Amino acid sequence: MTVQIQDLVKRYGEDLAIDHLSLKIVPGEIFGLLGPNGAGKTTLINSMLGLTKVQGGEIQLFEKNLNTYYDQIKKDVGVVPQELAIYEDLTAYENVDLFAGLYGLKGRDKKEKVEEALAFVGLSDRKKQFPKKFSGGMKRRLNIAMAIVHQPKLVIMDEPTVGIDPQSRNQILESVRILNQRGITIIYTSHYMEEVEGIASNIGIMDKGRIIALGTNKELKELIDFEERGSFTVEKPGLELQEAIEKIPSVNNISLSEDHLSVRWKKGDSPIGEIVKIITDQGYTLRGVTVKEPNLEQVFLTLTGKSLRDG
Amino acid sequence: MKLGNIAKVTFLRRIRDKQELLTSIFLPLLLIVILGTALQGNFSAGQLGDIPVAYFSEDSGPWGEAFEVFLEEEEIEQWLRIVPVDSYDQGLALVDQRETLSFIYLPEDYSENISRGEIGTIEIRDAGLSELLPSIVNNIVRSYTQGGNLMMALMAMEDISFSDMEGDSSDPASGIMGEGAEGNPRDSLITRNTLDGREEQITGLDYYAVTMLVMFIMWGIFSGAQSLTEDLFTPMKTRIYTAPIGKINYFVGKSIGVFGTFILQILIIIFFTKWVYGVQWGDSLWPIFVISVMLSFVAISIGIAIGLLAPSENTSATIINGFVIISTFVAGGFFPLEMESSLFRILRSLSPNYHAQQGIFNVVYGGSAGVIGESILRLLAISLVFLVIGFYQGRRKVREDF
Repeated sequence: MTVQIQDLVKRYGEDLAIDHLSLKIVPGEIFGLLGPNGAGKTTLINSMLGLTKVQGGEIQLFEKNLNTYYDQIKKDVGVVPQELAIYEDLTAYENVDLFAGLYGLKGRDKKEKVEEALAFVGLSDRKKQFPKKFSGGMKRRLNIAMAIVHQPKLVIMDEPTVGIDPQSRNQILESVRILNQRGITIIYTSHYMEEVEGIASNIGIMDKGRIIALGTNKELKELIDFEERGSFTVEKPGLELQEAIEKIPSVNNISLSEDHLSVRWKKGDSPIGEIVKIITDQGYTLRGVTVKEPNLEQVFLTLTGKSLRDG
Repeated sequence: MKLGNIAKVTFLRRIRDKQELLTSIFLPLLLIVILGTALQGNFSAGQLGDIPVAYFSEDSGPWGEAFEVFLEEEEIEQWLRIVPVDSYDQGLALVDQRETLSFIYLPEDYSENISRGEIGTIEIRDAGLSELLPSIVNNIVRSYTQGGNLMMALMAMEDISFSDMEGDSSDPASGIMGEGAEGNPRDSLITRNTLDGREEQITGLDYYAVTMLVMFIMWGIFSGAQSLTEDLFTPMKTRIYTAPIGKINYFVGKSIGVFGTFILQILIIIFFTKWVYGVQWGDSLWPIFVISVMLSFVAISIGIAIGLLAPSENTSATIINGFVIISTFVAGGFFPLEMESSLFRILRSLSPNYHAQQGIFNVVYGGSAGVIGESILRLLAISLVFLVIGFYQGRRKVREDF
């Protein structure tokens, strides 16, 4: 196991940030960690990095107890913090070179690995420039180069694509895939569900300090396979419409917005015909009906009751 | 090696910071010229002179008499207002009561000891009110003893006595001051060594070169503290704490880098003012360099302690600003300052500027090695206190972080 967490407990005063959490991450996987703000993701990551004291449980990285072998374990871990952790007054090369040195690389080996890391994130031709002249995406890539220059076995990426353009995001996601193909285990947290859906081989959904769902993308979607959902485009739907639809026995949930109704119902017991009839009977104009396939966003919404981006 | 990486990067980042360069090197050079020129009047004999000095001599020999003649020289009277007293205790009492700044005492055997070829000691006590004015008194007495030493050496070489000397044989001072023995080739060996000579006369530039050097090393606390603790307030903290380098090593590396920039600053200010402004830094720069380096240690240790104690960078900056301004003011860094209140004396004894300035003025104007050593030890003590505070606070902060 690359990561093995057993019954982890972390409190901030009276608040339980991590609630008896257990987790296993196998070598070579990309583990996507999802959760709304305050779910405990950052606390979990900080615990894995030995940056915060926990009140209970055990963390093992690379089959070694984190507390006992902390200094040894550190050498094999790379961290991409959520906020940019780069020195703007050092060149790209100097930034990466500093951390190569801190991880014990020396001489020609250090030089080669620094060049390699910069090439990997596509910054070779900018290595002598200062990051203050870089775009947001380039800074994010430099942020990654500094974390991987020592070729760690595990890279922890905390929202590495926040606030960047789609092109840079794709570039970063591609580099994550390539790192993974080289055998590096990656823990990836993001607010962008589609990113995690696209790259993670295993996904954990956290809420209130616990992992409430764990599995592959497909396995998670199957968790909500008991339901189907549809969206009905109706201008300014009223409460009387909602009350009428709620009376249909197969309907599990209904929500209204400015111009549509979202309805969830029991799988295999579609109420679409009845809903269309109620809408027209009440004098509304139905502009469209969409039946949605389950996706990770819906899994998240169903399990946590919150939208991921709303946190 | 890891420590070297941190030190190198810290040094590089600080010397690339244009604002830092401006405030640590160009600003002091500019202020030395502005203050030194504008306040030059404060450093003429008319302003600094009239230093009240109690004087008591129990020596009735020729060297004691010569010293009294020396004190009555017009050039000396421009600087010192001699207050004769009737006893040793009365002299000490005047100093204790701050009625005079210093007390000069010649013991009974002063001339006799010199005549026997032994050491004749002139005792000087000062009230500790200032580092500049006592150094002037010391320097005046030193100029007498140096002249006397030369005469004695000359007499020993030639095997002659006072009576063999041309000029006024009853007045060794005339030889010391280079006024007797007209045409005597030996006179060329006896140089006038008073505050009138360019090499010894203090100017505004000389004064502010010292106080500004000291003040700007102390201002280095601010940027030093920022450099040392900035990572604790930024996302870089995560990278640093998860890298395989101990926190102590990390801070030591940072301190070495900051210290390197202090050394650069000190060297540039001293050599630039010496060669371009013609500031007198004394015969040897090494003691000044050592004192400046000690002050840099003090600045770094204060920077670490305040940086770690303060809840935010803004609070840290406010505390440091206040500390440096008060420390500079009570040390007379902005203008020579004399106050007799006990609060002032306490504040000044806590001011690193004061101890550094006292040490440097004593080096430049020929004060005692004891005072210089004492200044260095006091700076060392201050830095140790702050290092201990910083160490414990640092450990606490690292534990509490995240």
